[in-house]
Amino acid sequence: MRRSRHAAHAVTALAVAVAATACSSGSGSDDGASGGKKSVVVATKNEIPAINPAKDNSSTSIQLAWAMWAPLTDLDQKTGKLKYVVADSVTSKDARTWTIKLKPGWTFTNGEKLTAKAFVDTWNYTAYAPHGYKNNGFFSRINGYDDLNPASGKPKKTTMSGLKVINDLTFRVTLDKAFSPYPTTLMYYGSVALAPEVLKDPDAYDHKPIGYGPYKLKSQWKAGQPVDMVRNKKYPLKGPEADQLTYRLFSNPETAYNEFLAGSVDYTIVPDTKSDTYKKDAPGKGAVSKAAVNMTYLAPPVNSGPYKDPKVRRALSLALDRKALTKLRAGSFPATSFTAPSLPGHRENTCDACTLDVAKAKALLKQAGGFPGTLKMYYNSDDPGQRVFAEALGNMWRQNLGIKVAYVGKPALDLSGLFSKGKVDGMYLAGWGHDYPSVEDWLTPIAGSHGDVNGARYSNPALDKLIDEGNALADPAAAIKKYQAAEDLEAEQMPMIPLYHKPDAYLHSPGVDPLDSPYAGLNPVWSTVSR
Amino acid sequence: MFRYALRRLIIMVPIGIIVTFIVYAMVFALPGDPIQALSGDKPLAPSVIAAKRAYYHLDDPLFSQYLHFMGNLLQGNLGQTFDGQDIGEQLALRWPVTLQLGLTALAIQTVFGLLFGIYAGWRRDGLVDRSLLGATLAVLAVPGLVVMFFAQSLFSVQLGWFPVSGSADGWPTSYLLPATVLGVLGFAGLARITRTSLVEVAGADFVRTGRAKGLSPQRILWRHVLRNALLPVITFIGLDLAGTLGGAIITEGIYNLNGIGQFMFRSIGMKEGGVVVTLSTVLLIGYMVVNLIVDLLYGLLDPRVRHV
Repeated sequence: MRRSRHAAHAVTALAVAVAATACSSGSGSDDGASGGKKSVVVATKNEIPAINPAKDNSSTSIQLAWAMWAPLTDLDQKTGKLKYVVADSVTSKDARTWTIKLKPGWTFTNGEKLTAKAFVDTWNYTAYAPHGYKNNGFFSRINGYDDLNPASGKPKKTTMSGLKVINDLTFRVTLDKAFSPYPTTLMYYGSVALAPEVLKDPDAYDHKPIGYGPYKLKSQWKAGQPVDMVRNKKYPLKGPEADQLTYRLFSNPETAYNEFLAGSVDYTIVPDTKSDTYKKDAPGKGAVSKAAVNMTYLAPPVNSGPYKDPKVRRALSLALDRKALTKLRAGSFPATSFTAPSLPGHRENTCDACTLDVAKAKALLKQAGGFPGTLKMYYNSDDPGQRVFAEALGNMWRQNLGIKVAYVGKPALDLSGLFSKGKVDGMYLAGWGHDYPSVEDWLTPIAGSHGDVNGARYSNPALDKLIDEGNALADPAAAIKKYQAAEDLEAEQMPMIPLYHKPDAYLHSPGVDPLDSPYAGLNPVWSTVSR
Repeated sequence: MFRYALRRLIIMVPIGIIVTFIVYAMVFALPGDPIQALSGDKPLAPSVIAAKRAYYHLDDPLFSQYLHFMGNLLQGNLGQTFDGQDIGEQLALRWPVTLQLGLTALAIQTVFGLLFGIYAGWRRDGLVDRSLLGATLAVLAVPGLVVMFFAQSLFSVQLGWFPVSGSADGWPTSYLLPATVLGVLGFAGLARITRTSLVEVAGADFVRTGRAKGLSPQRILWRHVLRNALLPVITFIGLDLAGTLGGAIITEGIYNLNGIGQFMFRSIGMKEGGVVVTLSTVLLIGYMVVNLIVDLLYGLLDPRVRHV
């Protein structure tokens, strides 16, 4: 999912919740009629073209979807286990053909019923390449996706053969290959349904979305203005505590931070530049997320020069002092495995080369025949902190292994472009945060052949096979066993060098507590309000 | 006079074409792939990338891309940004914000700049003149970015006099602080040029003649000195209007004003050639019009350059 541009940390930038009533300066949410009502204002990153999670799946759009839609499945906040929300059940015998039953009684805010057909139509619309919907790739596992996304030319079909409406509340999804984590992927808000009325001309509804979530728009949203929402009375479940929710969009995270300090905003993610000072600026209002759903790691160019040898990759990893590195990244802690903590199937310390052991590193490098030439360390030149971090890494290799290091700085955008094309010939700092809470989402995208963010072009048939075997098992526990075997193989081969996890730090006003679960991360939409 | 203005307007056409093409080529030459920039958080499906590239003619050579764009522009079709926002709609939404910010800033800057500049120049080497030199040097030395953040945290966060950001409160409340900061930053240059120009004119022969004739100092200042001294100042103000729009890019970011500056900044980052050229074209036309007005004003102020 969230591939961080700076390859530093994939973060869902969250935001700020404000008691509009309590602020003198205009938060744009106080209409004077909110007497006695609980209102929360959240600030997030700027600029979305539309409130439509299928058309635009940027973090801001997805956050707005948290408020205005409801997911098919979700995680239980307390246990981390899968639970059903809009879906009544998602079942399969072979992990390939899935039957999704919906609960009755869900309606769109315009009064239309939420049916199986709405899902099938939305998914087909999104997967149809010429529509240019950004969440298109999410449906690539479904049978017939290729018909809608040919390598060239216009698609001949507009529907995927793998989607079939069975009745009003049931539809069947056939994947092109068995994939056991499928139900967990349906937590993602990019898979929600758009109303039939919207699908007739989606562009006309960019600023007046029609959902079925706990909140709905108060009035049509004007681009550049705050997004004002009120409770959706048609929402069939127990909604969040705030009666009014406002999202304010900021292009500059430091501005949001200042809004918080001024008291006009109650909840914001702490920008990187403030990670050393936020405790002093807002005493008692800072907190750190219980979840670390991201990891920063190094991607060695596994197909070139000395990097081809797993021994060299292990040596490079063993030569790093991760404790010292985390000092440069406030709030971060060293990674000891290849997956994110708190996931079902995550084990600590699976990466035996992730602890500093200079003697072992030297011995391994010697066995591998040393490191001829210069190690190129790429970094993102847009951010001064990145250069410092890159040099810290380089110095460890230089001092502990005697390797010559050269630093190559490039703008983030160019760098990520080169990486995605597989053209980076040195160490690349990458970040990843999972889309759905499965350890599989830490294996396939990064180390699987053709993985979404496998810019190093690592390809290992044995690893792919283990992942595929796990995917084919309908029983999650048995599947996890296979994924863990794949992770053990990663520990041997080191296609990635894990560095650290960094939970988000956030600020929140007293009495406004965002939902913060070790499994699902932060969600300000579901804040508890006790003031 | 009218014929002169018409000639100037006609000349704008080829200049406009050349400049828009240069801007387009510059954005085209920026490194990185615009559709890559769009994918941001999640990798985009290759088919979607291909569809977008085809829709925006991104695989065509530069010249034909430019022709496509200009063709649409001339038909009044501004098109869409890469992420599907209607550019015309965006412009309509954003112009008022930037204009309010820019004109408020320009007004503040002009009032202060002229007041201090004239006073300092007229009372040369006095207290005001000396302190003005110090103050303007200080203003010119501190980066605008720092001043803006500092003003925001002092006046809005700590004192709570102004809203921190956003345009929700409308004019003037929302615009006062950013416009004042912009105005103060721009005032230094204006004050100095006014002062220098005034000193120069005040030393001219005709002023001495005036004094010898026994004209009152007020009359000399208002009737004779200022009329001559303000010529370069008018040019400066005209040029500065464009500069203010450039400054607006940073200001709008920090004060979260959804104006043209923010749009421009984002569009350059996203390699939105069409948007950048559209905005540049509008700026260019505005700039040329201002220039023309300045030249015509010159004629009014200075009979020597009156256009026949």
